[in-house]
Amino acid sequence: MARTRLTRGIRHYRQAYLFISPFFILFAVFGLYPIIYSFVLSLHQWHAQNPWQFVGFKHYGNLLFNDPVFWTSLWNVIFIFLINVPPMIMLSLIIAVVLNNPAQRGKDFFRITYLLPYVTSVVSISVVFYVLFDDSLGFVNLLLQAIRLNPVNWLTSAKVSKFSIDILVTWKWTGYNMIIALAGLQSISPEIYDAARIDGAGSGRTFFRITLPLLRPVIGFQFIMATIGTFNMFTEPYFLTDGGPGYSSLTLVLYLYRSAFKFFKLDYGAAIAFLTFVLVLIPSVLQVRMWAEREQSYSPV
Amino acid sequence: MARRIVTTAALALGAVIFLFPFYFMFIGSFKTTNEIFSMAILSLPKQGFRLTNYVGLFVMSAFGRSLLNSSIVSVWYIALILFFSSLAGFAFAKYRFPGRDVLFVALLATIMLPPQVTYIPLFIFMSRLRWVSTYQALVLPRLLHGFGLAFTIFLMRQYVSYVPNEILDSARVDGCREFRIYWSVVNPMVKAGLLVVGMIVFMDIWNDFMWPLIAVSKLEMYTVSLNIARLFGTQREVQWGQIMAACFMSSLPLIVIFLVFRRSFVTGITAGAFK
Repeated sequence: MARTRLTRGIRHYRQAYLFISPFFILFAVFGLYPIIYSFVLSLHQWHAQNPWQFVGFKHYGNLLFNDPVFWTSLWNVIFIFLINVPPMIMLSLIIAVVLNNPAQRGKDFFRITYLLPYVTSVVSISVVFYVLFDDSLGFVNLLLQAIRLNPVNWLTSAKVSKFSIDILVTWKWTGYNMIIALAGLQSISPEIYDAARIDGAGSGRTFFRITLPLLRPVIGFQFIMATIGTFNMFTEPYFLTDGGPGYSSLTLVLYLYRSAFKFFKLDYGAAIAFLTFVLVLIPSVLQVRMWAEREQSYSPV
Repeated sequence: MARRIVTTAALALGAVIFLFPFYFMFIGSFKTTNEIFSMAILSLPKQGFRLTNYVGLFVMSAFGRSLLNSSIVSVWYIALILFFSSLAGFAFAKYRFPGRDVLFVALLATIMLPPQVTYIPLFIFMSRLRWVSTYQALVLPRLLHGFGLAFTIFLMRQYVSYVPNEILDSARVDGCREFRIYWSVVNPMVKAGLLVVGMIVFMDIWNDFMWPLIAVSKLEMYTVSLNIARLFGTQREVQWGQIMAACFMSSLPLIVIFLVFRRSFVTGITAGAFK
């Protein structure tokens, strides 16, 4: 009897390994192997026909010490992060608090409406914003002129281009962050608010003293996701500004794409990819650690 | 009272801002380039709701083919993700096997890899395999990116863990094989999870842009996003009305599915945040 159970147990093991194998096989082929290949490639001079030539860390050296475009694109990403993420998350929290109030009129309508941009195709929306931001005849500038303000060179001024991308990203992602914040708010027990009200705390005080501290893990999650998203940004600048004018809105991934697939410097592109990877590693580790910790809090079987 | 009016007015203004680009692409799809680049965009189209732009898009720009390609890619992608993620989710939730926890953490860790690190080698492989401009090139490598397999396995594992073990055991006593248990006992009980997963990965694959841009070169294999990029790139003779029509059609399936299944959708995107 014991013996049958044992064999059955082993058969189950094998089944389990079989059931999880598709992911690990796919990852080995389309994830791990390319990453190793990418690193090896970044240490070589790449030739389409001839064998590669080992050059060590030359490409990394060039990127870090001889390539102002790389630094510009890194700076652009950081700049966009700074002007975009903190205000957007703040905005999303405020909207979430307002919409979490059961007495608020039309809260379901607003929740759906605000989340709609997140759902839509990035490509379509970037194209629409390109049209809206046209210098002379775009709707935004026509509207500004109609209310007697000066038009802005949204896409053709090196000073403004990053802000235009910021507007697009804020438009698209505020709803997502709002939904995350709402889910967080719903986990706060209403008694805490009742107690605060009895103590005579106003809504501003309640927000800063109770809501924000309790939402800290949620805000942390929002920041992590936004950091990863900003560092991987590609489609929005691709359509809106093509990284321009000059290099004023070039992002790391757009630069990688250009180097590798427009100028066919695959080796150099691989080096950019690797540096970007190292940069996003920190927020990503935090994200996975959060998930892994949560995993320990409940155990299956 | 006054305060409530102010907040509601602010929310309404926000709604106008969030909805305006959708209105713009919808109304723009019935207009000429001149109308799109003027205040006339606000009014109804002069010639009424004529389908000229839509017809042009399908006749001259192979847009029907792109819609078909995007649909085929999405169906394959969703089918593979649903199958692999629920199967692995089942194994991780309901079996004890050596190395399970380590493998699960390893799986989560793969989420950290930004997809673009793999794009250059993948492009080289695709060219060697002669997979450039094929459906398998658009589907298979993408299984790992975005809300790919790792995240969906993570999600499905949670759903499966709520299936009572007693049910599985009684199926085993009845002589069910393990795969059979997965297929006919577990899957019907985690339909809600499958719906959530299906929705978020549909959004992910339908919106995909950078990988198709690299992996596809033939016009017949263009996805909707690539075709929009192509129309957008020929700026001299750009038919902006056609582009708006393309943008609208590309957004429509996502919007409709979102509106119908919004609860599942919200569950899916908040699932990663916390519990």
